[in-house]
Parts: sequence; structure tokens; C-alpha cells
Amino acid sequence: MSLQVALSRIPVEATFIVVDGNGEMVKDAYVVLKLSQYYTTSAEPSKPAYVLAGRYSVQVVCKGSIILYPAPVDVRESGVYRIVINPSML
Amino acid sequence: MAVLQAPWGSYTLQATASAYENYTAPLTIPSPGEASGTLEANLTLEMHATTLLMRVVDSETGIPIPAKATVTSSEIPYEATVDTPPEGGTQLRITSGRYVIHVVAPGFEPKNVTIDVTGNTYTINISRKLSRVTMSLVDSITGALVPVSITVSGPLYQTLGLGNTTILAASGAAQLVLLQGITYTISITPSNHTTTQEPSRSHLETPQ
Repeated sequence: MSLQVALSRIPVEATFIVVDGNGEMVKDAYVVLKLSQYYTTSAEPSKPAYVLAGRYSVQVVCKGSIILYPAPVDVRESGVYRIVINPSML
Repeated sequence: MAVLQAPWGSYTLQATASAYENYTAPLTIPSPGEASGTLEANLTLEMHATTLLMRVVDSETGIPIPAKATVTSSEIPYEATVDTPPEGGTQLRITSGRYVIHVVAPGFEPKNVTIDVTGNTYTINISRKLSRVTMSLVDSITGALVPVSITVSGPLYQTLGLGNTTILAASGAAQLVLLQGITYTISITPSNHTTTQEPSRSHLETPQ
């Protein structure tokens, strides 16, 4: 007898703040979070979003540009996550 | 039927038969002047009552198993069903003789035994019906195997030593050995406290 149990991920409340290299908040920038090909979500600028805990690849969408954040972001618990981008890429 | 010839007078009549109580009664054979020469007597013997003591145990460990035992006789019209408690045996007041005992217990092979009841304690060994369950624990989003610890609880699981109460499945897979036809409670906890999965608790009923 074989049994496969699918474990649910923990939902967390995460706020993503996008800042430039000077620590200034980049307005109107929102983030797209990709956990797998089956789960992608997004968060509005500086607003809490309910997402599933996990290691995400992150894209920042701002002023018509999409920036792929180079490092994965571990979202393990509720809180504020700072995404630092290079403004020259905007 | 037996025919006895005896002179007239007072006697004590005794009759014995296997599985029956001894019969004793006074008998007077009248003198020839009082009655004709033939006297008929019907004797009714009571069957010998005894106590059937039964214990149903796991054949591997000898641990008492709660079971249902149906006792029937091919010699006399008799059938009774009793529960054997897990803490020990059960007893039944019946007449001596040959009986068939049919034992059923969840998770075990049914068994028939034929015994001659003479007042002893009878231990009936029953064999486990085991089910091997291969579990894989996957992330609902990515499908990747997740290292977990699995806690198993259910009737006789610990008592019979079927496995550890808590099983570490570091690879995200585990094999459980369980009795068939039993409902177990399986609690699954991601083994790494920094993991992102929620603990899970479910009931697993193994097929018959």
C-alpha cells in the first residue's frame, strides 16, 4: 500500500519594500514572487500580502521595467522584507 | 438401555456416563406377590457443567488480544459469543464436551480451534495480518519530498511493537508496518523547525 501525503505550506503576512542603493524607497514598485511553476503571487508596494512560506525568486516591476532580483528571498515568517535594487536598471 | 435381573428388595441405582453427572436413586423391586415381574425406569442424567476459560493471544508475543469468540458444539445445540478482554481471559459456564471456538479480532487472521472442554484454561494463538504502508511526504506546491517526523498511534501499535512511535523520515519517505483493518492516527511534523510546511494529522485505515 502506498500513500502520498501532500503537506500544506504555512501562510504568512509579508510586506515587501523596494529600496534603491541609497536606501530610498522606490515608489510604485511591486514584486512578483515565484515559488514554483505552480505558484506565483505578487505584492503591492508596501502593503502586506498573504503568501505561502518558502524560498521565492523575485521580480520587481516598476516604471514598465522588470528586474529579476538576483538572490532568492526566504519568506519564512510574517514581517517586512526589503528588496534592494540598482536604480540604474530601471 | 439396560436389562437387569435381581431378586425383589431395596436397591440403590447408580448410573454414570462420560460428560454427565452421576445418577443415584433408590429402587425397590416389589415382591412377586405385589407386582408383575418387569419394572421399567427412565433415568435422566444431567450433563456435567464446567468452566471454559479462554485467553486469546498474539502468536508472536503472547500478549492478550481483545477478540470475539463464538463457541459452538456439534454434540448438543449450543452457541455462545463472548468478548475476550485485552487484560486477560474470559470464562464461560458450559457442559463438558467437544466444542469449536471461532475467534475473530481486528488485525488478525480468524481462527477455528476444536477443544475438549474439561475445565482447563485454553490459550488460543492468533496470527497478525500485517499491511506494509509506504508513505511519501511531498510539498503541495513543488511536489518535492519533505523531511518529516511521523507519529503513529492506534490499537496495539505500541503494545505489539510494530514500530517506533515516532519515525524520522529524513528522506521524505517512510515505511510503516500496521495491522490490517485498523484505523491509525498519523501525525506528520516537518522535522526541521525552520521548514515552511504545516504539521498534518490524519486517520489512516488499513484495508482488510
